[in-house]
Amino acid sequence: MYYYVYDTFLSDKKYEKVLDKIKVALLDLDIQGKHERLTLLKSIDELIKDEVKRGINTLIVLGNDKTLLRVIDTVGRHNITLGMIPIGPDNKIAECLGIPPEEAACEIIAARKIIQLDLGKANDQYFFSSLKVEKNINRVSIHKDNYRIVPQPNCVEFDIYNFYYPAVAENYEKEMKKFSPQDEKLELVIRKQGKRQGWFKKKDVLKPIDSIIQSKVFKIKSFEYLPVVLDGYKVIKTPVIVELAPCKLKMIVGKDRLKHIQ
Amino acid sequence: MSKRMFKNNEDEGYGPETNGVEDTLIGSSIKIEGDLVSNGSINVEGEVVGSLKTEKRLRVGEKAKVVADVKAQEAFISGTIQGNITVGGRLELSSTARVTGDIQSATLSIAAGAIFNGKSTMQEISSIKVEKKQEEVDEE
Repeated sequence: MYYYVYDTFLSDKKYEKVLDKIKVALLDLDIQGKHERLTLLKSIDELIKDEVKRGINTLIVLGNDKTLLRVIDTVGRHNITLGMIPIGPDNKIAECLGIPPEEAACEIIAARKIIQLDLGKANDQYFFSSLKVEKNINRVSIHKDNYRIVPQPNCVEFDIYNFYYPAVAENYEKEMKKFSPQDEKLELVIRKQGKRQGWFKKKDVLKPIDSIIQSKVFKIKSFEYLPVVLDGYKVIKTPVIVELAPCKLKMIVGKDRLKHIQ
Repeated sequence: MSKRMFKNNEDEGYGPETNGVEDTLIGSSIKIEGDLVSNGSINVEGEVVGSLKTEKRLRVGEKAKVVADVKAQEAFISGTIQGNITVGGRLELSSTARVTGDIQSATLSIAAGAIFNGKSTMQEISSIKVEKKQEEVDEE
């Protein structure tokens, strides 16, 4: 049984036509189910939990990257299949997974090609894309196997990736190519201070990559509680054990997904 | 549509073995303390204190400082190493290398300008094997 969840931004009138088209396509393809529109008062986690109890086995999110990332923790806990109908801008994850936007995605849902992707786990929270620390880096140490990584003064940020996607296409970094959400590894990426580029700072300029270390487990420790941001929206505090989750994400994908996602 | 974002990079290919990115890249903004063991290649541009072991290639950059015993299948040294070096195949010291410690390798190349203080033994060594400790999550 399918459960369709619409992100709050889709209540905007400009999306009415698109949503109608999607509903018609779902009807034609005979993949109907329960439809739910999110509001500020409804907790997405609670809604999914309730529907899982009622027996849904596939969750389809309608929205963008943020919508998808917000359901990962709950999906990871309940072992349900996840699909997506991308609407609006900021749909880079869907693009990587070969899911076309709007009503074209309905055919992908109907074809139901499911692959398994790695999930990351930070303490007891699941994440799909990355974990970031960018404050007080000099008070943090990262432990792996028998050694520890001590950031030096020129270190400004570190991320641990499970699935890499550039939020802005121009920011695609070739060093990240190796990162696959199916390699059963997490990648620690440490960035250093870039060179100053004059008075006018460009927007979204990435700090240069300094170090890359792969592992299944990292432990982040610090002298005081420091914020760690999961998937760009959830904040937890150190100390954090970051590991590859024992469960996998079952994701409906399209044919035109990236080559390294099989 | 879906590959638009990555189109310019497609030629270089994806997948674990299709590009030149090292498994471990240690840059100048971090310091490693302890025993670094890897089954992939290691590229050091920063500081390592402890021990360093890889089944594959080790590259120590010009500004890198390694205070550790080193074992690798192949090694290209341009930086500073204080410790013994054991290499299964070819060991190359470039003109900027500074090595204090004993060297054991099958093939050795030292460029003019390199500084090497220690004993060198030329010996065929069967391939370097690393035993990685099981990664365990233990609550501390």
